[in-house]
Amino acid sequence: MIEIFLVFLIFGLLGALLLLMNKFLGPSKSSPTKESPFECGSPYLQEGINPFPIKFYLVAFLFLLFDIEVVFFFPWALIFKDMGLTALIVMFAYIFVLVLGFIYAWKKGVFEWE
Amino acid sequence: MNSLFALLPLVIIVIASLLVLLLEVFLKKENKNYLGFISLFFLIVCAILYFRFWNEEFSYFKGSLVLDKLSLFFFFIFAVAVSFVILLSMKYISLQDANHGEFYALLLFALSGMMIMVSSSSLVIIFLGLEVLSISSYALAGLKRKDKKSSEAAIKYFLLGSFASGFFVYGLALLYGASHSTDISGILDYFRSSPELSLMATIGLGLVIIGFGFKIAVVPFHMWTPDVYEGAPTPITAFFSIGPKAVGFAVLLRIFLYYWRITPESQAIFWLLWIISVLTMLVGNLIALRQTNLKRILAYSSIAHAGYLMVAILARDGSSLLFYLAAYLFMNLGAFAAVIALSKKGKEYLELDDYAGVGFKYPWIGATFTIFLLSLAGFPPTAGFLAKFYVFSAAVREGLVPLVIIGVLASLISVFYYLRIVVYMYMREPSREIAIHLENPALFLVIFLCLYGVLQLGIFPGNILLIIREAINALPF
Amino acid sequence: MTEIFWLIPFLPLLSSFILAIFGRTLPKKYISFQACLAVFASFIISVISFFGLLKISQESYPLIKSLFTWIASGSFTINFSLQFDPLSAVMAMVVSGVGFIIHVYSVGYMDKDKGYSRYFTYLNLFTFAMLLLVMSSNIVLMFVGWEGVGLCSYLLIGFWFEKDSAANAGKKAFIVTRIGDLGFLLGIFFIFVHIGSAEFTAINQAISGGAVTQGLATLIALLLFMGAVGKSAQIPLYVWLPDAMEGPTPVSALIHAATMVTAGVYMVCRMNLLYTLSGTAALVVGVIGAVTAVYAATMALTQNDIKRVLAYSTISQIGYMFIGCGVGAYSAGMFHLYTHAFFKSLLFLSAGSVMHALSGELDMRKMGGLRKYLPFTYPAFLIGAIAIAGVPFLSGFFSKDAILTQAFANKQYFIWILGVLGAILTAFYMFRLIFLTFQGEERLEPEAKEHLHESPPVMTIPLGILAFFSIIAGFIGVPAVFGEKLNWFNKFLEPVMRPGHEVHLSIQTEWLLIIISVAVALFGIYLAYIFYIKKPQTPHQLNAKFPYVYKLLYNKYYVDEIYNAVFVKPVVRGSEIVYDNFDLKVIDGAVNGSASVTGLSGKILSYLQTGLIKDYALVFLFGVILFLGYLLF
Repeated sequence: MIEIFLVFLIFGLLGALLLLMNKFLGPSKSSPTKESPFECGSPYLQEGINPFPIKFYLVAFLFLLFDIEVVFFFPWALIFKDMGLTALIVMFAYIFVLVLGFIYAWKKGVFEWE
Repeated sequence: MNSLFALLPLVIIVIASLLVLLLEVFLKKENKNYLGFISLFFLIVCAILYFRFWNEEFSYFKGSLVLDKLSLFFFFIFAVAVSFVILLSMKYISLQDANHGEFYALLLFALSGMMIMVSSSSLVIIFLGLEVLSISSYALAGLKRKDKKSSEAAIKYFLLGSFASGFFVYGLALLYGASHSTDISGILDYFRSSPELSLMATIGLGLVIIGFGFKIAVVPFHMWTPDVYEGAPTPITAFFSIGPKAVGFAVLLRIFLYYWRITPESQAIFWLLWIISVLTMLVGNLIALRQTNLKRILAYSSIAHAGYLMVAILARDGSSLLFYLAAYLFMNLGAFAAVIALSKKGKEYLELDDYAGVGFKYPWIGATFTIFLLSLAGFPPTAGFLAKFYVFSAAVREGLVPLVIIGVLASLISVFYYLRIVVYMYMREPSREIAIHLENPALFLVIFLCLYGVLQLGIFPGNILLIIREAINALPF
Repeated sequence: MTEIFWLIPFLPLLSSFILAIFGRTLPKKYISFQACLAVFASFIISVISFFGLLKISQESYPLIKSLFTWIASGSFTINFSLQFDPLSAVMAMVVSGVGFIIHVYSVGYMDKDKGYSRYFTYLNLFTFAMLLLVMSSNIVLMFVGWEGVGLCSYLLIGFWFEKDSAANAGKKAFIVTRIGDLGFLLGIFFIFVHIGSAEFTAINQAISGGAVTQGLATLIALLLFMGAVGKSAQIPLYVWLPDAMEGPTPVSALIHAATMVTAGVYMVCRMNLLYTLSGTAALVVGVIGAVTAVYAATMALTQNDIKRVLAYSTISQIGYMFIGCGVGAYSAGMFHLYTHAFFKSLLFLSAGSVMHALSGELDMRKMGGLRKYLPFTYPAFLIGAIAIAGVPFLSGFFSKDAILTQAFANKQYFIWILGVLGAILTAFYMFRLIFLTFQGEERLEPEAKEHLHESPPVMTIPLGILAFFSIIAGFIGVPAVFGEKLNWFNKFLEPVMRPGHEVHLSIQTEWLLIIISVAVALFGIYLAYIFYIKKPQTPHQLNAKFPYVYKLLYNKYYVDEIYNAVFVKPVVRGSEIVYDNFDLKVIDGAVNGSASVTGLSGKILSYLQTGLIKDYALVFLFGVILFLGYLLF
């Protein structure tokens, strides 16, 4: 078990060491120029981080979610015969909750692009 | 008794949250307050169910979900806490631009997570509940979407929370590796049967404690608390200060009430918790001295209270722990209610300077807030006094005198910052004009109920103590 | 209907609660209506419960209603429970009945006062506390009531707190009675330790079962009696009562004459088995009562303040009650308590009516000849005075006679002689009061005379009711010589206070004793007549002859001054020394020092709170490392 602790110790100390080194070794003289995002020496024209439509995120997110959820169908299908009615009820409850989530997402307008 | 009834309260809450979530998208914005009432209705149904179930013990899923008296007691505390938070929020979320219907759904999800945690005896199921609670909490913390601090709180809570969950699962894995069981009783049986404590199991237990140490905010796992408490919408802060804390202590209680009996007292875990408790009481109270933001003061105060609660765990006294939690529920929610009362559209008054002269301008809020603060500081005849008294006297009975001395000193320090608020309210000339939105009957109902609770528990604790004793005695060991 | 007896104390509490919250906004008429109604309802319930009590068999006494568990600690629980038995019934009816009358009187008396709602809040609260005191079924709850009435007494004595003397009198009453309460509390602790229960039924069982030794009984009884001495203003803790007259007169009538000050007597009667068992303690009670009865009466002789005379008279009369308890005649003591409640509150209220008429004048030297201006107050006062003096067939005669007869029958001749002596003095100072106030020449201040008027009906009707009861109240406890069966009061209380040994005197001796009491009362009145009507110069002649005696009495034996010099001054001086040297230097120094230390450490610790998530995670990780390191090594 000592190894586990050593792992914690080494990486913890390493993390601390790196952070502290940064703090102590790095000269921290800040000037307005230094604080501004670096744009190859020329003044920047717009914010460093460009906003892009969050819709991408949402769709990707929902895809991931529903895709992963369906994975649970496979083990269910394997033991379906052994469990019988219980399995059916459980899976219907599961799908019911999923459908609720779907309705929620739909009504929230996730699928409308504009 | 193996019965589906064991699932009933949980199912009701889950159905309620799904219903609220669905209705949210169908209701118009101005009708969203109904969602609060619907949630309240379901909570009341559940509370009635708890009373019905009090003298019966149901379990399901091969005993991994047990509805014993202890879990019913905690269910009840959670139901009260969540209903108070809902009542506090009704006006608040529309005034502070957080009026999303998901608010109530998320609260109910969090509640279901907490219910899973207290009623389960398997650490894996407890982890499931913990995640349900945590994920809803992260979302709740960031509910004021346009407020930068709120988003900051959410992301901080999320990152550090995942970090802590990792430790918890790691500990769980080690425990399972050592004892071949994920059941609390199975794990404890292993501890009892193996004459030499295996290092793997001890470290596993230690990591599990760390996981919970994060939720109940004990030093040194407390760093997230002030920032998250400050950024989250205030009713949610109130919820964080009681809900996750109570649930964490419930699980610790289930583990340690038995664990202490099978291990010698000089055990390393014991002294670790001892040190944590001392650190928590001291650090929480000391940093609170320098705060000027009400929510941060209450955040540090909640850290300090976790330290007192830890004393109860160390003193092996379940009933004083439960009493403390019940008292803390009322006094802390009451204090937060008073803070919430001092707000108007788009603006909350949270700085100490805002509170100058409030005692005379709003005598009701001032007086009740004073009582809650006195209770938090532990003055008789309030609930806070008796709660501390029971905890510390249990600790003295167990011979933990140094711990009690430190605890009393720490609570002496705490008197300073609690009374400072009172001093501001009554003895300072107001330096700036504040105007608040007073038409909020739900909030005043909460203040009144909390006041009642604080006084009832402080002056006539008898009946509650009997119930608590029953809940503790019904535990299997 | 008897089951609802537990409501009795809570109605005034409810009313007080409402008045405390909404009092300022409610109209005066409503306040007075509600306050009086609450007490009246309590009275009605008491009466109903009393008749219910008569119907059921004695075996089922006392009725106990346990409302909830109040304190539960280990195996020790105390319930918030009330009981109703003959003793509680008598007290509850007296408290709520007299209380109601005084509430009504207050409506008139306090009419012009700006603290109207505050006054009724306190008065209702007092009624609640007093009812709780007499109805609690365990000694701890009784102590709550005991302290509750003390608190209300403090609040009401200092009701006009703008006046320095009132505020000081309130403080004095609070502190002096607190000395007695210390003993009371110790007594309760001893009961806990040795009997293990606070319930009266359990205590009585333990005593009659022989679980309590005589020595222990004496110790507990004397400690409890210390509380009674403070609360009931007996030697040596009586000094607060005369000063308590700074409060409004109805308050003096209710709290400092009829109810609160008699709480000590009630307590002794409630614990009568203990006192009977001890014997010594009973003797102490009797002797202190007897000495106080005479001692206070002598001080009443020379006072010129009408309320102070009545205050000393109250102290003296409570002394009589304790004589009754001390000689084992507990029901006689209770009987005197009951009659005294009527005639003493009658006297106080009449005095209040006189003050009202004279715009607040208290000094008897500025009164005289008021008989014709106050056609209603005068007879009321006269009835009260006759009753207290012990003239036959008024209430005071029966009760005082019962006490003295029992003292004689129990062969406590010394106490009996003191009692008789006190009776002469009582008759004398009461009639001195009457003659100086209502008879003789007028010595009024001119402007007082202008406003001279009889009080409004809301004040005089209560006087009438009280006067009526002062006359007839005694007939429920007629001495044995008039018929064995007639002493109904004794019989009613018997289940609670079984007399240890019944002593019967021969008929002749009893008659003789009655004749002596009557003669003594008439002699006192006659003496007063000679002194103040027939030869008004006699007092002055006596003053000239025995200047020191007069001075001693007039200055109340200098007891206040002695207490001041012996107890108060050294304590104040000592605490000043401690404050200057210890508080300011040691404690404040330490506090300031530790405050700066804690402040500093808080400052250092808060540097850790950078707001950066990486730092937080790092602290977390350090915690984990230390945690695991500790587990490993």
